[in-house]
Amino acid sequence: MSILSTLTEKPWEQGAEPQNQHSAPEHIRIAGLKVILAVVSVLFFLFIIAFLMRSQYPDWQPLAEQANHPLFDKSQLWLNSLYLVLASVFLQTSKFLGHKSKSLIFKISLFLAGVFCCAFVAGQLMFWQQLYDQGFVVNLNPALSFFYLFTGLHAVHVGIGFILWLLAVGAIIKGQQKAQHYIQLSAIYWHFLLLLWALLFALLVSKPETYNAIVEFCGLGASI
Amino acid sequence: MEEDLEHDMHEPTSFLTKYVWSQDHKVIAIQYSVIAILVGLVALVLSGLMRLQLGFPGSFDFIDPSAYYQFVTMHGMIMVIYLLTAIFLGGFGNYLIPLMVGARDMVFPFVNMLSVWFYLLAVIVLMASFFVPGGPTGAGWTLYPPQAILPGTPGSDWGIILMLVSLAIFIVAATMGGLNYVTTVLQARTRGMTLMRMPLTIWGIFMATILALLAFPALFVSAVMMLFDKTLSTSFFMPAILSMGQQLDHEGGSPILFQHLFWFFGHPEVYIVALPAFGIVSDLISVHARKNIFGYRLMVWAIVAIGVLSFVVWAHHMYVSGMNPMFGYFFATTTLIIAVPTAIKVYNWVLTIWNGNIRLNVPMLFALGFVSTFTIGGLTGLFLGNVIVDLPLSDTYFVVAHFHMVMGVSPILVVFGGIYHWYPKMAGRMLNETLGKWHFWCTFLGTYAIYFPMHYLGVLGVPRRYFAYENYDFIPESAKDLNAMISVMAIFVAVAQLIFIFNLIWSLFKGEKATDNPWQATSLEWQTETTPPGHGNWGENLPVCHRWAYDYSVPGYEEDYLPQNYAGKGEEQKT
Repeated sequence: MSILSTLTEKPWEQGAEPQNQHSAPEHIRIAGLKVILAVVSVLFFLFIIAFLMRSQYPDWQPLAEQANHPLFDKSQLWLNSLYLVLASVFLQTSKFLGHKSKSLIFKISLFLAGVFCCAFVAGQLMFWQQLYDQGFVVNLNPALSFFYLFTGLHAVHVGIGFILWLLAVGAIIKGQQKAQHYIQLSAIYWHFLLLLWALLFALLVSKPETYNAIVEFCGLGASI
Repeated sequence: MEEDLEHDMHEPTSFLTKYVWSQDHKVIAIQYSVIAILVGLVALVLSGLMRLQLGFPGSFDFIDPSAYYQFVTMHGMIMVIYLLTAIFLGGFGNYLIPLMVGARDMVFPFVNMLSVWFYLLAVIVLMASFFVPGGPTGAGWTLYPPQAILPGTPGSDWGIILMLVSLAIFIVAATMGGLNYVTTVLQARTRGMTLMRMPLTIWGIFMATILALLAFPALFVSAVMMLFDKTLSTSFFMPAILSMGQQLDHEGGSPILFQHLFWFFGHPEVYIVALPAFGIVSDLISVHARKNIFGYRLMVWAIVAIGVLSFVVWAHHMYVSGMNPMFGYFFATTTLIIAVPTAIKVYNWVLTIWNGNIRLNVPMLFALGFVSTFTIGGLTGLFLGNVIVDLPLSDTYFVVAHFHMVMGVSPILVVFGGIYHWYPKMAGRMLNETLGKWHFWCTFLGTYAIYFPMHYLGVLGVPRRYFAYENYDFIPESAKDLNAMISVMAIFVAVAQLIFIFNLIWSLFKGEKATDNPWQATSLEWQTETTPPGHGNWGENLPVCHRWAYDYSVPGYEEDYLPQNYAGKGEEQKT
C-alpha cells in the first residue's frame, strides 16, 4: 500500500537517488479535476443528508406518490435525462474519435454533445415553468424546495461543464494540441454530472419508505 | 516537462500584470495577506468597541444592544474566516507551497488569481453590510436560525443576506485556492522532494486544505439553504413560528439540522486554522533551536490523524442544543481521543527545544508563546469536551476564554511568528527586532491578561453574549472590576498591534537588508538565487532535493545546517 509505505519512510536517513516527482500537465489537470469532483461530491452528499434528515419531520410530503403531486408525471424529466445521456454519449464518441479531429463525424458528434447539454438545461427550465404554472412554488413544501435547490445547483454545474466544452471547441478552432485533453476533461466531468443527476432524480421521486429505510440504516433519525 | 513549464511562464512586464492581475503565487500571497490583515484590523476595532461596552457599560451612547450584537457577529466571522483561514491558506499557503516543494508556481496560476479576486469580492460584500439599512447581521457568528433571519435580530433584512452571499463567494474562492494547494503538493514537487521530506509547514497547510475542501461545502449547503429560507420563505431550517404576534410562512423546519451542518464545517474549521499553525510552529522551533524536529513521522501522522478525527467531533458544540443525548457520549469520546495526537505534537515541540541551541529571536518568541497559549487553551478544551462539565460552563465566559486561547490567540501568534520569519524572503529586508520584541511581549502578556481572568468569570457563571450585566445577583461586584480590567488590556493589546503595522511598513523601506538565508535554515525557500525570489522562483534550473528539511547540527559538519538541496559527498564532505 503506497500511502502506508510513504508514511513509514524514514526521511532522516540518506535516501536513494532523487526521483522525479513532477507530473505532465495533462496528469496535473486530471488530478485537479478529481479534486473538484471530490468537492462537488461532498457538496451534494451533504445536501442529500439534509434532504434525508428533513424528510423525517411530520410536514414532509413526497413528490411523486399521487396524481396531484408535482413529480407524478415524470415524462419531461425522463426526456431531460435522455438529453443528458445523449450529451455524455456524443462527448464520449468525440473523445474516441479524437485522433481524427478533422473528420466530419467528430465535429458533428462534438457539436451534438453541446446541443444536448443545452437541451438538458432548457428542459429543466421548462419543467420549472410547468411546475410554477401549476402552482407548485418553491416554498409550497420542503420536498419541493429541495427539488428546486437540487435541480438548480445541478444545472449550474452543467453550465460549468458547458464552459469546459466551449474551451475544447475554442482549442479545436485554434488548432491547439490540448483540444483533445479538454475533451477528455469535459467527458469525465459530464459523466460525473450524469451519474449525479441519476442519483438526485432517483432520490427526488423515490417513495417515502425508501428514504425512511436509508435514514434508518444510516442512523440519521437519531440525530434530530 | 521543464520546457512545458518554461513555456507557461510568461514573465509579466506591465505594472498591472505584475502587481494587480498577477498570476505569480508570491504576489497573490501578499495580496491575500494584505486584504486579510486589513479586514482583521476592522475586526480588531470591533472587539475593542465590544469591550468598551462590557468594561464600562452605559458609558458610550453609540453602543446600543443592536450595535453590540453586530460587533460580536462581525468580529467573530471576520477573525475566523476572513482573517485566519485566508491568511494561513491564501497567504502562507500561496507563498510557501511552491517555494518549499521546489516548484515554479502553483499548477493552475489563473485559477489561483481568480481565487484572490473572489476573496476580495467576498470581503467587499461583507463590508458592504455595514452600509445597508439595518446594518450587518447581529445573529452571532454561528448564524443560528430561526433568530438569524427573524425581525428583531439586527441586520435581519439585508445584513444576513450579504453575510450568506459573502460566505458563499468566500467558499468558491477557498475552493479555487485549495484546488491549487493540494494539486501542487501532490503533482509538482521537485526532484527528490518526497512527501516525507516536505517541511511540516507544508504538511500542515496541505492537510488543512483538504479539510477546507471537504468542510466548506457544509457551510455552503447551510448558507444556501438559509438564503432560501430568508428570501423564498422555504422551511428548511425554519419551524412554524409566531413573530410579533404574526404567524410566519414557515413551518416544520429544523434548526438542529442547521446546527449539524454548521458544526460539520465549524469544527474542522478549528483545525483548518490550527494545522497550518502546527506546521509553521514546528519549523520555527526547529530552525531557531538548531535541532531536527523531534519525531517527524509522528508529527506527520498526528497532522493526518487530527485531520481525520476533526470530522467526527462536531456535535461537541451542541451538547445543550436539544439533540439526542446519546450523541453526547459518542462525541465526548471522540473529542477526548483527538487530544492524543494534539498532545503528541506539544510534547514533540518541547522535546525539540530540549538541549537545543535556542536563538531567542522574535519568530522563536512567538513560536514559544504559541506552545504556551495552545497548551492552556487545549487543557480547557478537555473540560468542555466532557458533557457533564460542559453543561454548567456552556454559554459562559469560560467558553469565550477557551476558544480565544486555542484558536484566536494561538494561531495569530503563529501568523506573527511566520511573518517575522518569512518577511525577509518576501521583502528582502529584516523586520526590526526591537520593535518585534515589544510587539511580542505586549501581545503575549496582554492576551493572557485578557483571557485568563475570563476563565474565572466563566466559572462564576457569567453568561456570554449579554449586552449588560445589571441586576444579576449571582454576579459579584468584583466581576465588573475584572471586566473593566479586561477591557483596558484588550484596548492595550489592540493598540500594540500598531507597532507591528508600523514595523511592516517601516522595515519595507528602512529595514536592514536581508541575506538570502538570514536564519540559516535548510528548507528550499531559503535557497533561491535572489531574495525576494524572481518570477519562476528558481532561475534556470529547479532545485534538487537530497534530504529532509531538518538536518540541523548534524555531527561532523562545519555548518550547523545542511540545506535540502545540498547533495553532500559522503564522508569526504565532513570536516
